[in-house]
Amino acid sequence: MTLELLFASIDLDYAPLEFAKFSKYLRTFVQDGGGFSLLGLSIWMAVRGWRSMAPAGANAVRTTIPVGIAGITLLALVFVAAGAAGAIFGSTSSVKSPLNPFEHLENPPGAGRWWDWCFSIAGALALIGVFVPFVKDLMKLRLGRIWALTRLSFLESIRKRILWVFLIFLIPFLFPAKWFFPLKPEAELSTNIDFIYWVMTPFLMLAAGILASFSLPTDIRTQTIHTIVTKPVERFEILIGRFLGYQGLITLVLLAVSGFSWLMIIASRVDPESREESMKARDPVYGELGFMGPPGSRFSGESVGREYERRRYIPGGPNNPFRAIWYFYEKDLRSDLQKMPDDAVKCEFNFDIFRTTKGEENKGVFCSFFFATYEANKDIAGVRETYLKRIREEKIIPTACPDGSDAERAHWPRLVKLAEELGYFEFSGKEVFDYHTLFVHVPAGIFRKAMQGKPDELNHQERGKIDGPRLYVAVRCDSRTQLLGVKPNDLYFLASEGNFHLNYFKGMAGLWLRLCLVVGIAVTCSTYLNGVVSFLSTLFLVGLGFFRGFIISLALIPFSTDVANPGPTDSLRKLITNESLGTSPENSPAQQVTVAMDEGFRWCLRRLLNVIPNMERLSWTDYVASGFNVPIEDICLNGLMVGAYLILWALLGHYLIKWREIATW
Amino acid sequence: MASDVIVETRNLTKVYRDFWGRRKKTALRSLNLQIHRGEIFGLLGPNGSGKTTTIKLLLGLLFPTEGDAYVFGESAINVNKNERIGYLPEESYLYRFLNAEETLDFYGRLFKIAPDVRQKRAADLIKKVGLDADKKRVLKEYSKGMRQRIGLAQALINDPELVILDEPTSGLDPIGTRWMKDLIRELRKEGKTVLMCSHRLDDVQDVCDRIAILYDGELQELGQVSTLLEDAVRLELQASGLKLSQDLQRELEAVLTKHGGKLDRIGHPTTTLEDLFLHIVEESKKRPGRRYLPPTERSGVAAKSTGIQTGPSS
Repeated sequence: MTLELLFASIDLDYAPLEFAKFSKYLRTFVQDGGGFSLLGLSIWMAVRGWRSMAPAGANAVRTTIPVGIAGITLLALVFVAAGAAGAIFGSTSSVKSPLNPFEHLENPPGAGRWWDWCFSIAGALALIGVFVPFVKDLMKLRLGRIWALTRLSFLESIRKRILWVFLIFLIPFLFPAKWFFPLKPEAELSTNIDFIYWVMTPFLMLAAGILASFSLPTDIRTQTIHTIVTKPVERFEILIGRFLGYQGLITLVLLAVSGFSWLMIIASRVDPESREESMKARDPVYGELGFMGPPGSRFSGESVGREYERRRYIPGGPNNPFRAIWYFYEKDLRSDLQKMPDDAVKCEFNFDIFRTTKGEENKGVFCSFFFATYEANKDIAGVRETYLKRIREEKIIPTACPDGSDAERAHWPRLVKLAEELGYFEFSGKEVFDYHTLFVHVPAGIFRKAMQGKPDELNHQERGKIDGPRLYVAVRCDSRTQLLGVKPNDLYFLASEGNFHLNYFKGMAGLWLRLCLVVGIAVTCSTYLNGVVSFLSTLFLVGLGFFRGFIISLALIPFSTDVANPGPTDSLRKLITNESLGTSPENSPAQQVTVAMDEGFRWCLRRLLNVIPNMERLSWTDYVASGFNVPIEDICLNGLMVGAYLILWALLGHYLIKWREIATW
Repeated sequence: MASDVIVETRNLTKVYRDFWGRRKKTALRSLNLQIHRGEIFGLLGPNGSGKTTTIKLLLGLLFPTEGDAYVFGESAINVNKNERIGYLPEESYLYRFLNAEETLDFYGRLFKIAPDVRQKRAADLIKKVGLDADKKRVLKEYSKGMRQRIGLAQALINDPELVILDEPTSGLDPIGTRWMKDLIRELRKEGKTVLMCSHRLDDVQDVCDRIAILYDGELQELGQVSTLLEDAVRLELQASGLKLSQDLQRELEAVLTKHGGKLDRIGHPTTTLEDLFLHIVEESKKRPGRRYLPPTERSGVAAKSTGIQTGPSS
């Protein structure tokens, strides 16, 4: 028996982070963080140098530039110059961006070349330059004082009652959403979860932003800070105390609000279909998607004209050559798939159907699924023939499954054995409905077979020379005149199912990390700006963080004169010269200048990207709402990234508050 | 620097600048002074003369433009020196959402003080400043005088060697002012050094050993109060058991003329307004009720009936 599920597919803007790519993340941190550190060091040295030229009698102690820091900065600048020279003259191709801007960020051109190493070394040197004095100052911190300041911030937030105002407005939205907008019964749970996360995000972020932005400027304005800094308090302790106090309180509030909303969810009478769909924590195993068409063609799936649809479509018809194929490599195929209960692995899928004719009423389209190991795939036609022959001869039910009728259950072990022996299994005539998650049972034996031996090496587009896939899953649409839409995460093997309740709270980690960013940025800004400006700056930065994808696409438009509107300066030129904005530019000197200026503008945008926090990535709502387990690896790595991002803000805050005069005249 | 020098400034200069670094005002010009252990030192001057700037520089709240400031032999921007300093700002800028106990507990935690010592000291200080009955009330409910008292308590929570008081009697009523002055004298008795700034000259005269007078950021005068106030060309004579008469005045003038001098003024001395006020308050506490009599009902010996001494308070 198969139960039809709904929507259990997840559409991710960002692929989960992986520990395997840690060196890439580290390189990005060193280059980006180091770049800003070097900029800070250069400005600091310039200001100090300028001050040291002041007339004699000036305070000599404060204008001295430490030799070590100066040496490090100069050395880093030399490496930057070398890196820049290498990037400009070393390879002209490195200037061109690939079509996918995200891919450009993940694998920038020139990564791993000698000039890239120059940038990394320069970054590392600059980071040493700013971190060494910072770490020295950290040694002076005392937990007792930090704890006192944390308690103060905590008490202040509670007694000033700002947070409670937000909470009063938030509470009504934590009750199941059906009281104020209609819900489809089958989507009740996922919509509820989505809505709760969605509504909590702005409320808590605004509350955190206001608390953190206004407290320090208020202390400075009312001079209450004077009674603190005239005690033996390191100024950075004030910052840490503020951050921990607000973050601690907001964490407690988040836990309380999450707990309340969770209680509302488990206590409410949810539609059984919706419960079956979303009250899970699936642990999927994904493959890479590719396409196959007639021999000799370079078929890569068809577009049906849906602008915001990421799916590609394969045409339907029995015995047609079009296939959507998922490739599973050794790293994807976890060993527990070989030892599943009943030797059955669930292969879940959720496809879109694009109909060119009405088809049969109340009927889906029919698909066939083919599972083959790399060995079987070498002679797939022969192996398939043998498989079908054995099925016929041994009278095995080809659709046998461990939870079907008695006969189907009885035939399942034989099917498992056959699949393991041949490394091949197929399931034909599966009825598929639009956006409904369905599954077929796959014999675990095929996974055992797939893990034997060693596949031939291949040259992977991203990963270079690697072992080929161990398992292939091909899907064919059997219904004529219908197209089947697929995207990478539409098909997966279900490795296990986790605990929904735990998953619900794991999903909150995204919001918690977002709140860390808000509090961290706001507290840092408030060391130098007044409350309103600090709040607006935080709002601006965090707000941009939600549109990071769009800014990436703006910042990484390929530098080419073929682009009709390369940027704002060229658009301005076209307005002045009364050219149509959509026309292809001619290669005039004026146009070359404006295009170059636009490239400069995009360079600035790319630097801005390094300052903007990646808020888009910090959401696991889709996982929870769709019933997927939130990957703990992704949470940990995102936590690490947020930490790395915040430590640079902490560094900035440390120097800002250390060098500023607390009193005014 | 000699070991009994607690505070020292050398050519201390502060120029306030705007965001772009342009010079807006020179608040202090080449200030050189030393404050010694155990003395009460007063900084005097009109508004804008640089008193508070000097204190802020000594506390590290501002950075000097030129010159140096040392406290306990350490640079003024060094945080460690604050372990031995107590500071009472002009207005008691404390967290108004805390009560007196929480306030002292919070500030006490910022020092290296053992928890039991901190708690005992906080309780003692609350008693000392007379806020025992109000220690559970949040500070926003306090009057200005009460806030000044708790402010002084927080300044003393670390049992400091140097107490810096910025306008300590500002906004206090005469009772509060007297209490504050007595407390400052008590601090001296305990061996503490006190640096205070004020533009209430009578307060400074009453308690300070030495003073510095600033005007427009420059040091105009520095020395012992008694020396600075002494008028060497004039002579003061005080006597008791006598009534003023024309004979007495004539004979005194004759004696003074014989010694080359001249009688400027002769008459009964007056008390200070502060003494009068405090005496009335004390009497009112002892005997509640209206004491004022209209001139028509008043006998000619009103002053005598109040019992106020018409001479030095000794």
